[in-house]
Formats: sequence, structure tokens, C-alpha cells
Amino acid sequence: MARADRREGDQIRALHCVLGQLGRADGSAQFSAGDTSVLCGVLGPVDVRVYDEKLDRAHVEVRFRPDIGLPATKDKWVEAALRSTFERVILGHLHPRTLVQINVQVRQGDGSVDAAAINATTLALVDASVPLRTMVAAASCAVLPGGAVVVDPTQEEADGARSVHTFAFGAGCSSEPVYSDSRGDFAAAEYDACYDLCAATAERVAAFMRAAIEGKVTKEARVGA
Amino acid sequence: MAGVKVVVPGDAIDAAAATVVRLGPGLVQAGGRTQATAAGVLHSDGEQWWVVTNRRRYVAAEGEPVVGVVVARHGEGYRVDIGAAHDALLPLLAFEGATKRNKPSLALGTVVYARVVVANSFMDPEIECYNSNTGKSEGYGELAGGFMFKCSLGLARRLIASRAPVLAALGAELPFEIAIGVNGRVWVCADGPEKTVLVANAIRNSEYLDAAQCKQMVRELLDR
Amino acid sequence: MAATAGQVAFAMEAFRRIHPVEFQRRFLSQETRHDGRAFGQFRATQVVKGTISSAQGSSTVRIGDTTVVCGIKAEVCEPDVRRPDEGYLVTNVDLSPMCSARFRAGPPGESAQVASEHIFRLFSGHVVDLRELCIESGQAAWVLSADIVCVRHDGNVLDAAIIALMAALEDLALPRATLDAGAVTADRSATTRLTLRRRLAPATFTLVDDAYLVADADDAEEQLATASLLVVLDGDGRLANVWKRGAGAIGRADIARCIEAAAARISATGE
Repeated sequence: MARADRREGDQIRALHCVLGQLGRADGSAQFSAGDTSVLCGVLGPVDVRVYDEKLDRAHVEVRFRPDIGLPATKDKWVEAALRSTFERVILGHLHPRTLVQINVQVRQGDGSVDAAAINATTLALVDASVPLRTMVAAASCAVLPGGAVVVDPTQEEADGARSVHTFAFGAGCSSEPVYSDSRGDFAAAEYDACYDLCAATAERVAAFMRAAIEGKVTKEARVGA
Repeated sequence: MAGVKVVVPGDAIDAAAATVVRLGPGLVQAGGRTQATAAGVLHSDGEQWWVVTNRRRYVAAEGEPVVGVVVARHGEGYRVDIGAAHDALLPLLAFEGATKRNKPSLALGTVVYARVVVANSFMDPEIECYNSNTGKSEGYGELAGGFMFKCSLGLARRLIASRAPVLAALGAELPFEIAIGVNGRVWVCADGPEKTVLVANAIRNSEYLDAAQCKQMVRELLDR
Repeated sequence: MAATAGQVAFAMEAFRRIHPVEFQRRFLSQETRHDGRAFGQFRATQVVKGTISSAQGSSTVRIGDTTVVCGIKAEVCEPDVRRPDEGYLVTNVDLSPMCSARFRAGPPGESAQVASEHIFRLFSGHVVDLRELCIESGQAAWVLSADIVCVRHDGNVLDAAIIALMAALEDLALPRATLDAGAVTADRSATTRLTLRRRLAPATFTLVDDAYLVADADDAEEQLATASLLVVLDGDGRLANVWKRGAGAIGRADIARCIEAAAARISATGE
């Protein structure tokens, strides 16, 4: 089964990331997979509105901006998904009465945007040194009408797919997804196959993100020595 | 850079060798294992373990020198923006020689150099411009004139530990005053605005430069 | 005796209100729930179709004390130029202060918007064939506005909303519409029903207090939820949606068990 961009079924698009490119944010990251690119800026811990103040933990706020048009209900859905994923990954009890604000801007969307948004958010949180329980990595796959399973689908593939699946895992924790969304028309066996494929892919994405962070830390350590 | 151990959040730290272990910033104990919460370089002296990270947002810690800006005045003291999540409180009497009748009056926007005396996550931080044991200012207080700018916390730490070659390179060329806050704010004052801006730019440029590069960069700025 | 029983009831009510977490834990640690259900047991579900005569399709669904009313209004509009042969489905979930004191009046809050969007993604195109809503290509099409109003919120509103929309769509009777000289005339005496592509049936499982995975949580249990898993199946036993919300730990084995439990429940209640 040939894909339009000549990838193998389990082949992801070229990954690219830039850390700390936003000068005014406390941490930022751009994560790209092929033509899908998401920019995330994190502020935190900062002062929180009295209304949102929590006495025992930090308040986590997510803003998701689409690449085209104004934020709508569909973006609220992504915001809620991101917040519920990261609320417990962030060790909020270390910074009570503060706010951790996550701003996600889609620069270009060509499928698997949810996964890219999760990956960009993880990188930006690490760049901001917000205390985290683990590093979350996400991956998407799609079941095409012919039954073939392809990883990291483009928008065209996702639009024509019978079902689309997105999973996110903490590092080395493939038995417990922190985020899981599968939709379309699929059998339990297909769900299992997609789970396995996304778990394996997320591991590769995690290794890529880790290398990017290690590169930045090493560069800073070298001048500091 | 052999021997540098870089950790990322979630990495388990094998600190079991020592019987008593003290965990510093960037490490927590969770479910019987010690793990990193931030990306950085792991340091240890056998008993104490900590992770050195570079970040931009300051989290107040007791005893640290900070540069802040007065943003409000209350009956009992000033509110000072030190770049942390909450403004710090600077009591009116926390200055050298201050009494109820005779205390310094700071205008809004004044830059002060102070030390953090109260810092915990449940209270707003408190700072003071003198050493309460000796009653002496020890260099803390209002920073008049000059120019304040922001930099990363990692650079501020290197500057204050005198490990930054840029200060030596600058010092060899021109006289200037500097107050470094570990909150990533640096105040400099040289002879005239041009020199002050030059010093500030040199320090901001120096984040990723080594000694030779710093020297050359300072030279280029001076020759411009 | 009666006084003693009354005192016990009062003490229990006070305990429930003062320390809700501990109250629930006492039950859950004994493998039971505060309303007497087993962990895997769903509440009785009641579906009544055609409860609003002024809507083209309607239903009322009760899951335990949770009550949801769905009304579908059909209106004529111009199709999108990019999709001239398709109509629209618009879903709107309304969680007003009427159903629970936790919601505020005014524009829809986040949970209402998320529910609206999630239901839209499940139904638009997948259940409702949007081409069937076309009256005249590029000229006129039906827009189905499905308003799902929660009347009483006692947990698991999303399941109730999905069941209600499904029932209302089955109840929907569209007037036969024709386009004559730029004007659409609807013949109310001759109505057609939509051919629905799939019949969706939901089941939600909630992780309470990070430790107990229960089916069909009520409001008190949802307050302590750290994660939940929505499983939606169709009449053929194929999956339509597996959606985990919240960062609490629902492992792969748990997800597999939930899918099985959902399938078992749906085949048991399926008519």
C-alpha cells in the first residue's frame, strides 16, 4: 500500500524542533512533523487571577489557536484535552497559588495536529523548567479504507481514513496512555494494532525530544563550566 | 565535557549509594524512587544531589540576592517586582539605619538590590535591603541611575559566581558598577549612557561565548 | 428505634456533606458504591421519543436521575459553496444553572462546549449522511439544529446526550421539501425519515479517586474523578469512539475490559 508521500506505513514524517525561540515566554518550543507545525509558549509559574487561585497547586490554563480563523468550539475541545493531559503531568503542588499558562499556536496543520500540540507542549514545559512528573510524547495513526494502518497521517489521509487514533504516553510507560482518542469505525483488534503502533512511534518521538533537550542543556553546560 | 550527566523530567536518579541523601532543586522523591523534574545537569557531592537548570522565570529562595523594581507602596512597606510569581514585600524599616522617623522614601519604579529573607510557596516572598544581624547595608539598597535589564537565570548565576569571562573582559577596558540578581535581572552603571548600554549589551551577548570570544566581542563593541 | 435511625441518617448525611471524599472511599474500598450499585453496574436508562411536539424530532433520556432533553429543529439554508450537496448538523449541549449549581448562567462553559464538539464529531457525517439533507444542489439544504438540554445533572451527561441525540434523530420526520422558483416549499403532510448510517450506543467508565474504575458514575463520583473513558459502539459491535479524558491511570488492560463491558451492556440493552 503506497502512500502519497511515498512513506512506509510505520514511517513518520521528518521531525524538527526549535527550543526557546520566543524571547518573552518563560519557555517555548516549535515542533514540526512534515508540514504540520505547532508553536507552544509557556509562562509559569506566574501570578494567578484570584478567581482561578488554588491553595494547594498551580492552576493550569491552555489556550489553543488554530492556524486559520478565530478560536472556535473545536479548539476548546483541544484545549480541554491538553489541559486534562498536562494537569497531572505538571507537579503543580510545588508551586501553589500560581498559574502555568500554555499557549499553543498551530503554524501549519497537515494532519496529526493533536499529537504535535502535545509534543510541542511537553518541550515548551521542559524548556520553561516547569516541574514535570514525566515527559509526554504523542503519536497518531489512521486506518485507511483498505484496512492498512498508517502512522502520522497527513490531513488528506486522515480525511479519507476509516478511523483516526491518537495516543500519548509518559516516558517508558506504554501500558498506560495519558491521552487516548480514537474515532471513526473500527474493530477492537484494529484498536489494539493502532495502540501498538502509536506506542512504538511515541517512543521514537520521545527519543527525538530527549535528544533535542539534551543538546540544549549540554550547550549551556559547556559555556558554564 | 566528559562526565556531565544530563537528566530530563522523569529520569530516575540512582542516589542509593549514600545513606543520607539531600535533594535539591529539580529532584523529587515519588513512590520510593528519586526522579528529576526538570531538564539540566545532575550534580552531586555524594550526600547532596541537585539539578542545575537554566530557566527564565525566577522562583524565590531564601538568602538569594535579587534586583527588583518598586511597584507599589503600602503603609507597612513596598511591593517589589522581582520577576517571581508574586511580588515581594520590602518592609519600610528593612534598610540600613532606618527608624520609624527616618526611613528612605522610594518612588515607584525605583530599582533596588535586596536579599530574599522569606520564601516559601504559601506566602509572598519578603526581601530586605540590609543584613538584619549586623544592621549594615552590605551593598544592598536603592540602585540610583544606571540601567536594569533581564537575562536568563543561568547567565545571572554565572555572573554572580564570577565565572563569566565577560566581566573580566569588560573590567579590563572600562570602569562600571554592577548589581546582579539571581532572579535574572542585572543593573549596570558606567560613565554615561553610551558606556552603560555598551556594558549591558556585552553582558547580554555573552550567554554562549567563551573567554576569547567575549574579549573579541567587547573589543568590537568598543571600536564601533 | 425510629429516632435512632433518624440520627444515623442525619449523621450519614452530615458525613457525606462534610467529607465527601472519605464518604465515597468508605464505600469504594468495600467494593460497593454509595447508591448500592456494583462497580460495573449501570443505572437504569429510559428513552422516550417525540416528547416535544413543536420540534421535528425529539427525545427525553433519563439515566438514573440525570435527565436530558433533545430537540431537533430543521431549517432550510444555503449549502456551503465547498460542499454544495450537503446540509448541516449543528449540535449544542446546554448545561445551565437549572441542572446543577456548578454551572453559571451566560455563554456555554468549557464542559458544555467540549460535549457539543465531541457529539458533533461523532455524528456529523458518521451517523447522519449530510448529502441526504440536500434539497437542491447548491441552492437549498436542511440544517438540523440539535439542542441537547440537560434538565437534571447527576453525572454521565455525555452518555445521556449521545443516547438522546440518537433517539431524536430516529424520531426526526423531515417534511418533503421542493425548490420552486427560488422558494422552498415544505409539505408537512408527507414526511421522510433519515437513513442513519450507524446506531451509536455509549458507555462511560470513570476512575474515581485514582483507584476505582466504575461504570456510569453519578455526580458525587464524578466530583472525585481523575479520568474517564468513553466507549461508543454501533449496532454491529464495531467501535466508533474510545476517548480517555483526564490524566488518571487507566491502563491498556482496563481499556480492553471497558470495551468488553460496553459491548456486553449494549448487547444486553439492545432491542
